[in-house]
Amino acid sequence: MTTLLNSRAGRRLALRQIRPRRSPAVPLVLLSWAGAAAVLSLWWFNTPNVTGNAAWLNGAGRLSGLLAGYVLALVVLQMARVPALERRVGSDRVARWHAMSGRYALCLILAHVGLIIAGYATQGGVSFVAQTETMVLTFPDMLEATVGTVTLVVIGLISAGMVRRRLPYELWYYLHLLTYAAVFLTFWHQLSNGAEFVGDMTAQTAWYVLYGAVSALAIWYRLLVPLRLNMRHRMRVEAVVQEAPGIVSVLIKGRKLHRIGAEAGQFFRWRFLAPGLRWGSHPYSLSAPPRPNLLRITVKAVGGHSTGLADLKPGTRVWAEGPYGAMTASRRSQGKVLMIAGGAGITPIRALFETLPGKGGDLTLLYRARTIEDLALWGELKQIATERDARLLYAVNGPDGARPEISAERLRALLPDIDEHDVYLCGPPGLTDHAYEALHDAGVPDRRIHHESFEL
Amino acid sequence: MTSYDEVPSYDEPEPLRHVEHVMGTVFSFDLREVHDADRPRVLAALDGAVVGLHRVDELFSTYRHDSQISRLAREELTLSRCEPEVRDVLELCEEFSYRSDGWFTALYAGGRPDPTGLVKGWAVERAARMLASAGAGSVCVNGGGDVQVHGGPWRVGIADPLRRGELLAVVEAHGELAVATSGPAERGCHILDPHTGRPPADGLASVTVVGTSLTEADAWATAACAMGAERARPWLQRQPGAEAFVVTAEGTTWQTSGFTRYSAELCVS
Amino acid sequence: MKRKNPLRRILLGTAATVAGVVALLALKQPAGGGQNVAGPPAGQAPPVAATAPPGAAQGAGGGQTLTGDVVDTQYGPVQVSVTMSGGKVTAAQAVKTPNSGPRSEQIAKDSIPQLNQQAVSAAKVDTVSGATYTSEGYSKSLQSALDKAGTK
Repeated sequence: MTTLLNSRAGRRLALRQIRPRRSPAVPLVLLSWAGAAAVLSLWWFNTPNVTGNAAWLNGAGRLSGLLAGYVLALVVLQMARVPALERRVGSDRVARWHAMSGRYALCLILAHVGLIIAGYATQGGVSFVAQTETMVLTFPDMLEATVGTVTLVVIGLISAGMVRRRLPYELWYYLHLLTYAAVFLTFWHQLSNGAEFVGDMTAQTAWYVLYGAVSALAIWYRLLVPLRLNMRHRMRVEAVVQEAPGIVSVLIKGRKLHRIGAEAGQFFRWRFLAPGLRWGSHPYSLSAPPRPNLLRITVKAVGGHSTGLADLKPGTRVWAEGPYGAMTASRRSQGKVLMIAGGAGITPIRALFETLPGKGGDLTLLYRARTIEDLALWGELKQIATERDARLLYAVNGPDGARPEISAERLRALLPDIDEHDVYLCGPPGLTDHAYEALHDAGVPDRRIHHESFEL
Repeated sequence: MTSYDEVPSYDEPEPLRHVEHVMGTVFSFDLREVHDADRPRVLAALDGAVVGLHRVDELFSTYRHDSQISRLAREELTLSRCEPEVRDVLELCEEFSYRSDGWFTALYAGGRPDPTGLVKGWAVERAARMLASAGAGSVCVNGGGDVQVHGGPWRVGIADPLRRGELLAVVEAHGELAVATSGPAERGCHILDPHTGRPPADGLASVTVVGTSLTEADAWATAACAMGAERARPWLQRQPGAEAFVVTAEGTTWQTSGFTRYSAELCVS
Repeated sequence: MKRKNPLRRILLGTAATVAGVVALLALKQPAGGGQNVAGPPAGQAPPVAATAPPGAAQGAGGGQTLTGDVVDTQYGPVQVSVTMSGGKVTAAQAVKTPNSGPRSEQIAKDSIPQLNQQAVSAAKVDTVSGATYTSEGYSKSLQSALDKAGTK
């Protein structure tokens, strides 16, 4: 069992830095709507009128095509690991946006293909199939675009929940990476065939700028920044510690880790360069605040990857990308804090529990697990609670398997002034959904509930 | 053979015209804005240009048994021993073949070099440049239907391939411009699809390409003819710096979107 | 963070997109349902829209050039310049053509009316570009007529 506690000085330092920051999610969403309007205006100003069936089909096809191209750029941007998104909006939220946008883009693409072929076929008086053949085989860049589109459809299909769960994670991940290639292939036909782009230098330039910027960001934040991070910090496994049956902590050493920019509550995407593990990159939260030469993650063995961690040899090289995650101390306003953790969600909460600024009596932690044995890092939590004069509570299933109720009444009974608390919530979806509802009913405003879901 | 028909002098600098039969076709020269002081130099340049054309014929004619091209084909001569012009032209043929994805070829079916698709335009371009640099203010050289002009303004008519003696369009040139037309109309179906060895199924009646270099315009016109109607249109639209006017076998016309830049009214009253 | 009902979100998104697209297209309907040029099957050349009122560029006598208004055909906007001589159209040419991609341009170019061919003397060209003629063919060509005329 490891114990890692920061000094009081560290805590005081953290306190001084508290600056409540709101998530930039709303302005970003508004900005993307504005972008969509700008893109549609390309069509608006290029089209004098729309008359006849063919023109309606072509018009709808062009609009859906323009939107699809735009949304696809956003889809890539969302996964570019841009810090403003990952750390300020939150990796989990961005991942949800990405899933939504991806599905939307795919629908737009399919609509675009069908409408344009139908429109051209109607206009030219040929059959749908003949028109498809002509377009794919003779129009510029259409062969590449077809390959790219088919790839996107396949990626979309395998990303659907049902299929995704059946695939080994690594396979799914590497297939999903083909999206970059597919976007590259489909980009060119937009400029060489798109009615709004042919002959219009301004529109073409704007499109190049859009895709160029997104590509540059992706290359920078997904390739170059991690490269620099790993070369600077050179992380290796220091030790692997059994915390409890099925729960291990991995201690990772490196250079100047206090400069890695990680805050309590954040996570990294880890790649351990050991046989069997090196092909997968998995997100695990820091279970203790970062120290100058040590990081710690605590993992419950639930799958192939996490089980393999128990066998890591000291000295194994570690490739990390991050820090990511928005569930940090900076999210909260001054005041009291309630932390609710369930299952693996305890890891970031444990780190926050240690360093979140607060006076005695201000902090409460409620840990929900199935059984007492599943309460990982319990010893440390007790020690921190004593030191900081914080309340530590746990809720496990009853002997008959009955789940403890997390309801507004019980929460209010626990903390009568719960509506003045900030709440940090981290755990499996079932728990967080229930807790969220209960908190909402208990009068905690939305902006005070800070949450990170682990279904990345 | 080399008689220069001179127009009687007036106050303005008068045009020089000349017609030369060479390479199995006819080259027409039209030189204007030649000041009296430049006249001897321009006349000498015209002489030189005509001699140049005959030299090109000697080197490149596939009908001549002893031309360098024919000897190259029979492997009596290696490329390194050919005159620099032959190497230049064959290099150009290769470049254009590459840039047109093989649709322009300078080879017979058997692989022997046949640069005839390019030589005429290249010779015209060279001659026109020579004359322009010799001091002629406006130069128009028409080699068997492929035109290179300097100065101007020049009005270049585009012949209707299906109706002899008729024009379909007029290209107005200000400055250096080339107008090359390819098609099966006059010499028979001599443009073949290099992939099948036969004329293209949806063949065009004529393709006119307008650009600054006649050599390139000539090559593109030939390539477009070989492609056939369906492929030629998007391909022509895509070529940077070149515009095209196309006549289909049915008689309809089509032009690239930038062609309006050059086209002028057919009738001027 | 609220858990939205995913099905509701899908329906809402679809409905909003479809409604938006339909609205945009509907807003582009021409006023008064007027200048709808019935399009021919591709490959034929229809006459220029008769509804195009020519703009004034009238010169005296023959050879007046009239530039028509931009006509919205179903292939896009087309503006045609027409030359009249003695009450007949002697030349027509597209001044502005729809700029909407290879396929639409292809069709649009087919819409441009065929010209009545004119002899080269009326056209006043300096030289003629055409497919290569042989020496014999030259003598019957327009170019030889020009060359002869120039050396008179």
